[in-house]
Amino acid sequence: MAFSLSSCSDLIPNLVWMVPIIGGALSVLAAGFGDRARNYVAIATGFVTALTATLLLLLPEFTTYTLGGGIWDITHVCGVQETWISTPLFTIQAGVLVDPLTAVLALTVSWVSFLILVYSLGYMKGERNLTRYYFLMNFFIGNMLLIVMSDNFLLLFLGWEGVGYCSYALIGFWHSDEMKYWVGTHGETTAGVPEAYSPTNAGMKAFIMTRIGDIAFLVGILLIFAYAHTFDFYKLVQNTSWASDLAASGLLVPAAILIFGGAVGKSAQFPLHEWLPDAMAGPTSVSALIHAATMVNAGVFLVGTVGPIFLIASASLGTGVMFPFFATVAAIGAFTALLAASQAMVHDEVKKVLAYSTVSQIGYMMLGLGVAGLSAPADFSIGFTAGFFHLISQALFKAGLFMCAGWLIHVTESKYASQMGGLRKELKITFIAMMIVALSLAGFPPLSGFWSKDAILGAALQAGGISTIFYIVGIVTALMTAFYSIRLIGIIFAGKKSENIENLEAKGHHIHEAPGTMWVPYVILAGATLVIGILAPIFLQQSLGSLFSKYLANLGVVSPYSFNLGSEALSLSIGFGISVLGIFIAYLAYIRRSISPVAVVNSSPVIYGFYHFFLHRWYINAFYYKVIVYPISRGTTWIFRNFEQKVIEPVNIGAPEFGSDVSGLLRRIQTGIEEEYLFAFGIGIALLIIIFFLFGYVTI
Amino acid sequence: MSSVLTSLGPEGMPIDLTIVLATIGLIIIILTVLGNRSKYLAMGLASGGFAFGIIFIALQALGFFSSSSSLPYSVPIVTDVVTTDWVSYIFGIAILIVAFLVGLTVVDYFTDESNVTTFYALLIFTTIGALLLAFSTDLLMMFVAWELMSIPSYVLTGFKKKDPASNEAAVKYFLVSAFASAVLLYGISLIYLLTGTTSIYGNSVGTTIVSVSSGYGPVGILALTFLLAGFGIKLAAVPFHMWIPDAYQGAPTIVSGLLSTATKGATFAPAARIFFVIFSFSTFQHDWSLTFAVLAVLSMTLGNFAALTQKSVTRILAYSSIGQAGYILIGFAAGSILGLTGSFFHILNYASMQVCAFLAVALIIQGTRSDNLDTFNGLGKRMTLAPIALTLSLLALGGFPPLSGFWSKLTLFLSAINSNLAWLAVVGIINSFVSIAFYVRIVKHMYLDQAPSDTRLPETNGFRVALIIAVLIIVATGVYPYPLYQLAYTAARSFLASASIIPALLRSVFL
Amino acid sequence: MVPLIDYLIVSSILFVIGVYGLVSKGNALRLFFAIEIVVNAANLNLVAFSRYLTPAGYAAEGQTFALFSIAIAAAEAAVGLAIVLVVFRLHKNVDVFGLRKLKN
Repeated sequence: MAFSLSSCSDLIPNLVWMVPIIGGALSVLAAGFGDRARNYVAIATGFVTALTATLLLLLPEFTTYTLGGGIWDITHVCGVQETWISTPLFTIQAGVLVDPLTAVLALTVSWVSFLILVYSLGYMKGERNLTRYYFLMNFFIGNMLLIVMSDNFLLLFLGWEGVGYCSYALIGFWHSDEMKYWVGTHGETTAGVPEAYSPTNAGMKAFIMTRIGDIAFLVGILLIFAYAHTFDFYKLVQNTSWASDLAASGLLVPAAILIFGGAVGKSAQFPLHEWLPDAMAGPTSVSALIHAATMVNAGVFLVGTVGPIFLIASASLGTGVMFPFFATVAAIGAFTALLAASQAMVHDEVKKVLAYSTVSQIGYMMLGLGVAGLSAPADFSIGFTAGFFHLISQALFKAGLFMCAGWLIHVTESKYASQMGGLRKELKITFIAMMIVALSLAGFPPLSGFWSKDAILGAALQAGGISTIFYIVGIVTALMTAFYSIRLIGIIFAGKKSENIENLEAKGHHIHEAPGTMWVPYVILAGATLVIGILAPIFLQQSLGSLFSKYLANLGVVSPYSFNLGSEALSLSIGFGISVLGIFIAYLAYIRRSISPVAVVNSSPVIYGFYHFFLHRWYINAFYYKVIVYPISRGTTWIFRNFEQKVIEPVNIGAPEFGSDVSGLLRRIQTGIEEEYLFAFGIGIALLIIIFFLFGYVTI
Repeated sequence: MSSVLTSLGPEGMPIDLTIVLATIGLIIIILTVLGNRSKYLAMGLASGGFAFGIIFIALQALGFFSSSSSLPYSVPIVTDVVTTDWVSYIFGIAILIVAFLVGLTVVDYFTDESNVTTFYALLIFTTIGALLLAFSTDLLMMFVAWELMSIPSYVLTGFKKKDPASNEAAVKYFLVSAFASAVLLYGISLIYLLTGTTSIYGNSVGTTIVSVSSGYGPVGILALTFLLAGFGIKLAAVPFHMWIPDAYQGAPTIVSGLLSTATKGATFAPAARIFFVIFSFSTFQHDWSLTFAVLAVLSMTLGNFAALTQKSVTRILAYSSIGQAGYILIGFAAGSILGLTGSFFHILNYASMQVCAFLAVALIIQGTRSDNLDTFNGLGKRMTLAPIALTLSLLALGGFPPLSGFWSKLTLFLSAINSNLAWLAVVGIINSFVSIAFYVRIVKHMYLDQAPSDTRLPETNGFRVALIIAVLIIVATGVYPYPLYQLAYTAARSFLASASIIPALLRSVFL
Repeated sequence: MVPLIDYLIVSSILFVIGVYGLVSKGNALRLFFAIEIVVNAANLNLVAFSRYLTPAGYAAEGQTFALFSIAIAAAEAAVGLAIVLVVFRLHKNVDVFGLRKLKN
């Protein structure tokens, strides 16, 4: 195999994930010196992490690359592996790996995280329990970077569970469950299932739903381990006999799909997507960091890591062996994109709209990675690059959108877009920043979202075959995306001020711009999406593609990447047209307000039906509760009454009683009398002699 | 300085170390006699000495690491009375770390005693005894070191002169331990009869051993029994454990910490040497493993079960110390490289875990004035560091991953399975479950129960530093166990390699 | 030359007397004497074995050992008596049956 691995200085790659964890712990200690000290330590940790991640590019193994020629060139993959514990019976090795993929992702994750930490400074001001907040945020960042940097499934899984825990704990950050922190509208029900969730409830929902995926993931990992006897990515690539063994048992594709199950849970893809909208019960900064920019992308990263491994491992088994896997990835991605975008069009809660949009955009990324595997092997890098380009792009503009939304919700004291309205004058900076990131989401040139989304659609178009269906789904979704992003902007900033705002102003609340610690981060992100958008066609997309193509070539997938506007013209212009169409409809309805959306919805029972269908989450959530959650809950109650209380309880009482009986017996020996202690000594000697003689190697 | 150190060479190390420490001990005594009773001067001198010792041994060990690759596993047989092999490094480091940590807390602990400087002198001498015990390869040296370790520790146990409990503990400890010394001496005399030498590794190997007729078999067994019983006293192996709970409860708590780790840990070194070298293992493996296995099972079961219903936290820790001795004996029973690796590794971990627990309890008792479990209620709200350190050390003792105790217990249980003693591993695992009940019970009292009052309890700096260091060792070893594991593995492998050099002639004595 | 077995018998008797004294008496001083008897049993062994082994070409380590052991026993006795003395000051007697404060 072409895979080459060079060892490198082990300090920096390990520091990347250790710094945030250590810094998080330090911020807890710093809390002893006051809140300011704690905040500064936490923010400084974020900054040092970002700097350390940037240092990855300066590793000796990477110095051969040049930005100058517009081509990044990485000739080596840098790996550090340490023996964790080694016994004659087993050895566990674990380490970190720096390759183009991890370097790019580590950079994105760490810098976006840093900006969000700065934003938290303003956003979380005055909240209680911030020590916990900052610790969990930094701990999360560390675990996320561990996922990105780890060189084996085991360590990756460790980080995977770490971020899962942080996500759970931060969704439920306001665990006192006061009414204002609930997500969803009170009293609304879908088929009898309540639509509102408290933070703790939402946290548990997220934890349990992702756990379903995690179990599949774990089974998949262990399946591979059972055949390959290693967790290491590069060992899996170097020696691929495990794949043929797996395939012989008919388990190769199932194992891959099981691992994909983990990605489905973490990245909130259908059918495990329902936790993400409710995860919006957490603080908005958390939603921006975990549920938009980083953790939910871990699934994409996982697919991006295992996809090539499976492709190479199955290469000797003939082409198309992994077709079902990649088709599943692409189909689930495409369907999720459509599903979530349709719901984003109708919801009124700002953060929920953004959450659905996140689910939808991650669907796009999955689509890109799936299409990569469906296309000819030489074209693998096209879909692959598109998927990760969109990941970076989405991380930037979605984090920006969430941060803007956070300020809007704070200043208007309402989570509903319809209770904002007419804010473009008061909130100029927020308006412009949010406009830019929303247009990026809508896929409007020259913003980054335009290029990255069309890269995915272009890849699907080029792959042909079954991918054409995914392309059409993608185009429809793009139309919806453009519509809902401008709809949101229109409702919030255009038109007249809502009653809620007028009431606030009447009470003397002045609608004012965000403090610097808050607007600077999202303006930076808006700027970044613009800059990347401008640079993308000039060289950025090409160099990203070359980078990934080098990475893939290093693994053994030879797939050169070339980007030129000419050959992409068709898909770019379709994308542009669709985007403009969506934006225009939304403009008419929500900015010029020449069409009344209400009238349109009521105009025909079919549209009305769809509206309700979308609003009630396609009844999927209600279905889960009715078919799975409630029966299980009833079942466990029954088990509790009939098994737990009647069988387990006696054991639970009996075992400790037995323990204390034995303990009491033994205690009676201990009389406190010295003589008896010495007597026991004598008995001990006798006992030893008896043992020796009993087992008879002493004969007199 | 470094050139001086290197010129001394590894052979001279134990003596150099002893001289440095003894000099410091004497300086403290002279200063005290001259009227300078500055506690902090004594503390500085003692801590400096211990820190020097730790660094000194670590440097020696690392020097060994860096030399040629074949060296780590081949240790020359020493006919001297002391040796510097990997086993002695392991025990030396463990003993000195414990002494260092305890030394940091003495000034804060004895706030109302006037002669704290004496404590430091005694601490240093008992540490020297423990170190020499770990280094000794001669029965005479071993016996002298044993007494040098024991005699100051009697005084330390009774250090609170006006406290009846402390006195009672001292008397009990003294009488049992003195009897143990006598029995040990008797055992040694029998070994001397059988081998004609007091050197553990024999004089010049294989040439001067008298051929004793096989009629002496029972004498050998008697010698073994007496030695096991003598060591058993300090190891806290059942049924030689009876003094432990009383002495640990009555003694000043930091002294209990010292007794349960330094003196107990140090005793494992001569035990390993005598049982594995003199009574060379390979020909008797079956029978010997059974003896150790029986002791291990008794110690684990009694220690863990008796701790279940105790009300006094120091007694719980005392019984836990008995139980932990049982785990360590599993490795002796397995008798393989893996088994001894597990034992050495667990001794290292056990030292930091147990001393951390005792120091945390000592700090808490200073505030609450009672070691009753009920007074620990709600401590999580009244103190910061002590409950965290106690929790971590208890969880580590219980074998929770990813703390240090988990890895060494895992190694021990694996070694038992590997040596066809799966039943022993099962007993060990069941005992681990039982032990979690009382370890977690203390944690529950500290964090979940209602505090009797909300007043903050003081935490002093000496304790803070000691606890933080101990916790760092526990957590760091737990997260990254490989270095210490490797150290233990190297020690076990080189030790068994050196043990097998003993001539077959000697083994025939017992056939 | 007295056969070795005679020494062994004497020392065994001393050992048993010592152990009996330990188990049967409650007085700390008596316990202490009993321990001394066991130590002396061992010392007798050492000296006798040394005497027996030396003609066979061994160094007289046993006698050295006995000297060391006697010196150490003296040190131990000093500390032990000091401890017993402190106990006597507090309790006005040295009966270990009275020392039962520490128990379960």
